[in-house]
Amino acid sequence: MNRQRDKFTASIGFFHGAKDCAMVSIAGGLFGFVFGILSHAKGFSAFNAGFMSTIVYAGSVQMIALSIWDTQHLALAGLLMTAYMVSLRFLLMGATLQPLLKGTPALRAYLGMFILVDENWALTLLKHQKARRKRHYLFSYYLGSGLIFYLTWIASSILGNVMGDFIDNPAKFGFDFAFVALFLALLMGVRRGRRDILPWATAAIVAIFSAHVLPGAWYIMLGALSGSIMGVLRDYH
Amino acid sequence: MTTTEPHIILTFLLMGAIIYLNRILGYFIVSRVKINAKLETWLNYLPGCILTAIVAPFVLTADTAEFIAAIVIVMIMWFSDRILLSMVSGIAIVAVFRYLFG
Repeated sequence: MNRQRDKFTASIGFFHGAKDCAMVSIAGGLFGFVFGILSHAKGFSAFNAGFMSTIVYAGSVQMIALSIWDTQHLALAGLLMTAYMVSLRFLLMGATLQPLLKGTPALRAYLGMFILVDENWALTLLKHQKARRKRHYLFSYYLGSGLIFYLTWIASSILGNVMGDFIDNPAKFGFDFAFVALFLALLMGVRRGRRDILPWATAAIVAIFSAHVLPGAWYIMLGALSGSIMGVLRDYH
Repeated sequence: MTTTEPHIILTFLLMGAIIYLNRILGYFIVSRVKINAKLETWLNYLPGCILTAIVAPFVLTADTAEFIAAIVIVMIMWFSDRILLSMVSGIAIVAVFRYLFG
């Protein structure tokens, strides 16, 4: 009986996740579409664009990889270094998810982490903050929101690549702002009150400063770590 | 020119593997340590700080339209907590501004 109920809870969670992420996926799809267009300009076939989105599946990494892409002389070390550094935030995100999903069978959890991106991570945390849910529900919610985002990402990058001949300047349509809009909204969604002010202000100042003086995506790690550590130091003097 | 060559596919696979490592490593580490109050506090502060760090540097490059849109997003979230409404409003404001003045 219990197992059946857990299964039911899980399918509800999956459905809720997919539903909550549907519109967010469209924003992600715009970004994927832009990636597709730019990949076409770099000489990627539709297959390559789709394959990269399927296997690498990290928008920021893919964009930066495109900017340093040179088919004649592939800078493998540079590409791998970029992939590692730009995706370091996934390490922090996985760390924050674990306590919520504790008890999920390891194989399932580690397979599920393949589709970990900012969007389904943030939505799952938000869900957890708004209402405490069973981990069956939450893990399925994570998978449901992740899967719809994943499929949209792959489809939109292929579509963008195919349409690449007809569209030249994606910035003109306001697509590039979709990313900021989404994360700003998610950020406001996870606010918990005044105790967040100091850590967030620290994170913001450090991130802005690092983005200004350091290359690459170091600013995310430095901002996130300094802000959260500041919060702990304040709470424990 | 055919770009679907083995070395490109291999590059993607290696990049994917490295990123997957980051995806599972944080989860793995936390599952192996005993979570005390301090660590829990840190993990609770982390999400907001990650998002802040992702978003904040946008002030370095934002134009007027994007600033206005950002303020609208924050206000809508503050009063209604509706992610989609605020997001779509923000994108629409930027699109309209670019159409009118761009």
